[in-house]
Amino acid sequence: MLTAMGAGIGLLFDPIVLLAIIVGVLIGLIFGIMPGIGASSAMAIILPLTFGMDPTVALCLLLAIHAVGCTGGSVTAVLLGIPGDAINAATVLDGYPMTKKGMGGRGVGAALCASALGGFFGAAVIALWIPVVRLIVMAFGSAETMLVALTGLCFISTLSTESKTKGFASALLGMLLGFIGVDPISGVPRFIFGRLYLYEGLGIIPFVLGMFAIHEVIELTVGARGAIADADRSAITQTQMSQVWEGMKDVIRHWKLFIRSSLIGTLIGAIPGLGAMTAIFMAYGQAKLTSKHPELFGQGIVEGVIAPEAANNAKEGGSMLPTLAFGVPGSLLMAILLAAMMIHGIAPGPSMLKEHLALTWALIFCLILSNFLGVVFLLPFVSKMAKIAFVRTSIIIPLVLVVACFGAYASKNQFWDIVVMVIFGALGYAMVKSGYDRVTMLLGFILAPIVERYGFIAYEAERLAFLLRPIDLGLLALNLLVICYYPLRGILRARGKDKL
Amino acid sequence: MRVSTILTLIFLAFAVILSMLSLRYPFEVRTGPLIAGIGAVVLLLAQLLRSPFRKKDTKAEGGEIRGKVEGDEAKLTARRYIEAGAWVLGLVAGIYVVGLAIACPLFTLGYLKKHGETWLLSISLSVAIFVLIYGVFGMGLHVILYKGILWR
Repeated sequence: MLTAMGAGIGLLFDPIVLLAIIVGVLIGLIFGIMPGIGASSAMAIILPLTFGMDPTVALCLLLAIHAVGCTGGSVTAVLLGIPGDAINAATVLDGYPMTKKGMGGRGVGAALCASALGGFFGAAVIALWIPVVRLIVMAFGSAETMLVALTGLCFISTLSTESKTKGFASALLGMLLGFIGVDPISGVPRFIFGRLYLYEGLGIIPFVLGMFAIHEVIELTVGARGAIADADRSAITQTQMSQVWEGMKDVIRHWKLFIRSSLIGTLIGAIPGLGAMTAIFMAYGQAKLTSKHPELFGQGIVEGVIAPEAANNAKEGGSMLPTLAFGVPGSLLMAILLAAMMIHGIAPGPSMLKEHLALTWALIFCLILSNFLGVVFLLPFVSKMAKIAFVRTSIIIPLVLVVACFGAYASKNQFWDIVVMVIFGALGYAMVKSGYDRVTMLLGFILAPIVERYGFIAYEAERLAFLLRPIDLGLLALNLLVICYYPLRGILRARGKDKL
Repeated sequence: MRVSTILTLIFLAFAVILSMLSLRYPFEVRTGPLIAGIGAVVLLLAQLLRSPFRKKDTKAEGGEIRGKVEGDEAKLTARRYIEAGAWVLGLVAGIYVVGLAIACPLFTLGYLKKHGETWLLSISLSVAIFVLIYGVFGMGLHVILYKGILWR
């Protein structure tokens, strides 16, 4: 094992491999910053260019793009309220309010530090788990995957802000939207109204860009705001760079939160089929549940940035586990990496851990190095980027609109994605004004098809017998605890006051 | 009628229609939408019952003056909504007609000039947008750009 680890480090410090990692990080950051485009587009575009490359160089290039894609996206999520990718959606909830208060530098600093350390955490965990990975991943079948996704849905009760009724209604409506398209189990098209465009269902990128980017454009226009930040520039006594350092120190201050969130990200990432959204919203939900100030979530609290960013980068490490160990991609990006492996004649799966152990270690260290380089490359620019909060909205609005339209189109090369984005933008704006919850709708939209698919498979395979397994009972108990947490806390507090 | 009430009614109609449509599908296909749809209908009805239909009463004491001020503000806000909608729909229509590579830079130029920015800034940003979309993505990365119905 140690010999293979040393060989892996040796592979990594080849000058060509290092150059590939640096180029990959730069590409990942640039694509990640552009809303709607993201690391998956970058990997798909770069993949054909790697055909003639050495396998180690090619895989490290692609992995580096993948590792920092969501890091770049967190910058626009915090500074502009537009998630660079769907997985940065939770970062917007508290990151953007921080920018409005003139504390964008702190938000970005916290996001970058949490992303980098989360990436380290995920990579370190998979390094430790390699000997026992089979036991862990094989313990999770369809029933367990369904219950974990259901746990993500249960966090709706913590995420809904104004009214629980509206929060749950938004989630259920999101679920209905998620069911549009062909049912993957039976092949029956649902709610497509004869439109071929709806065959694959509504895209998540237009949904997220509409709900966040277009909503923000309307908000800036109607509110006639001079700049994103409500706070007067002269009133901000801290420089943006010192805010960035403050944000980075916040991650260390909230180390317990960081570890919990990273663990959630790594565990969820290791389960194929669950997706990043489950991880980030569970991390955000648990951050709110365990915070001393849950009422501040959604108004610009740094914990609301640390939790999802730590989870979404740690998830990348977790998703490498089933990809390398079983040849089962843990995420869409890992599916592209898997394709690259097969193109270069490397068969992922159990043989990776025997015949290509040095390459496996090289990829793990590549993940760590890429996360570190991502922060190093962004840091010199962050304080300047944070000043975007004070740029005139007459400049910001057209740029955001144009990039959002391009991002929506680029997801599937469909014009109607732009139309869908605009419709969701208007809907998102109306929802915010009416007290309905965009976040819970997004969660329902993403998780409901997952719960339905795995629930159906589990039921067909074993009916309700899975409920007798300890893991499943534990997950069910967790779901109930999450749903009942706030009502129970309210009852206990009321009793405490009565006793006094 | 308040905006939240109108939105609740729209959501209710959506949930009812989809729930009824799902009855046509086989059991395993309709279960998920039916559960979500019925749940949504129940919660939305509960929400409607909680917030009765009512307008704001502006004719309280001193309300006439306050009403006029609020009326002026409402007109201004309505104008801003129309303006925002017009710009967004204009961009989408432009993309549909002339394509991404032309509509996006033209929109940027038009918006910046309309809002008082200098020619230098307006043209620079428009050119930058064109270079990004057409140059980098179209020519460089061979992304298929939407051309618009005019060029088909």
